[in-house]
Amino acid sequence: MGYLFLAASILFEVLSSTMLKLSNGFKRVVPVLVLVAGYGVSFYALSKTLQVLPLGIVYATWSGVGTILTVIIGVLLFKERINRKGILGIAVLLAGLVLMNLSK
Amino acid sequence: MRAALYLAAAIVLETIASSMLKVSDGFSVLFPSIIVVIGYLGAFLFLSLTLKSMSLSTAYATWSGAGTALTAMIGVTIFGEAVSLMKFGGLLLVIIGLVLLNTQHKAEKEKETSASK
Repeated sequence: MGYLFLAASILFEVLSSTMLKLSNGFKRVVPVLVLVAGYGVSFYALSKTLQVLPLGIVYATWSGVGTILTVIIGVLLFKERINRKGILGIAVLLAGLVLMNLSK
Repeated sequence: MRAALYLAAAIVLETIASSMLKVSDGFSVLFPSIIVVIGYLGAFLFLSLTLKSMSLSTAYATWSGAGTALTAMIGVTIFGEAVSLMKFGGLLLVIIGLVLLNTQHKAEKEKETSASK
């Protein structure tokens, strides 16, 4: 259950930060509305996650997966690129997240 | 140098806000919930001040790395969360991964800016 809330929190956060980019400096209304609602949902889901999972692991996973998804969205939607350092970063991050989440 | 101070303020506020998020117990306790909102708004403000003179990649790398480390430390010291070699090793890898990912284009950008001078 905790991980479901965590997944929702991460997805809404990535949606909101994408909207932040699309809002063109808060100039376009629809992205701004979506991002405010999105962050609201994200932080609510995060608070529910923290009722059952440890803060240290939750925060690392939220940051880590969020960063990776943001990079991927950058590639898919904004023509950004990943280089070898980026791929190494993703691999090391994922390894770290697996270790943290498997640890007691 | 002021950018580094602004960034430190942003990181500290964000760490406080995430701890209060836990204490708020699903946003059911009022005072921590209020601190969460003020904390994140403050962190966002200081981050935007930081970005006036610091590059996005440096700021994000430091922010996410330091924030993750600090929050994990608070989890252990204040909330009595578990300490293990596996968790600590995993945390180290996460921080390294975050820095690598946030600075992946840094050398390229620096070459571009010096080439255009």
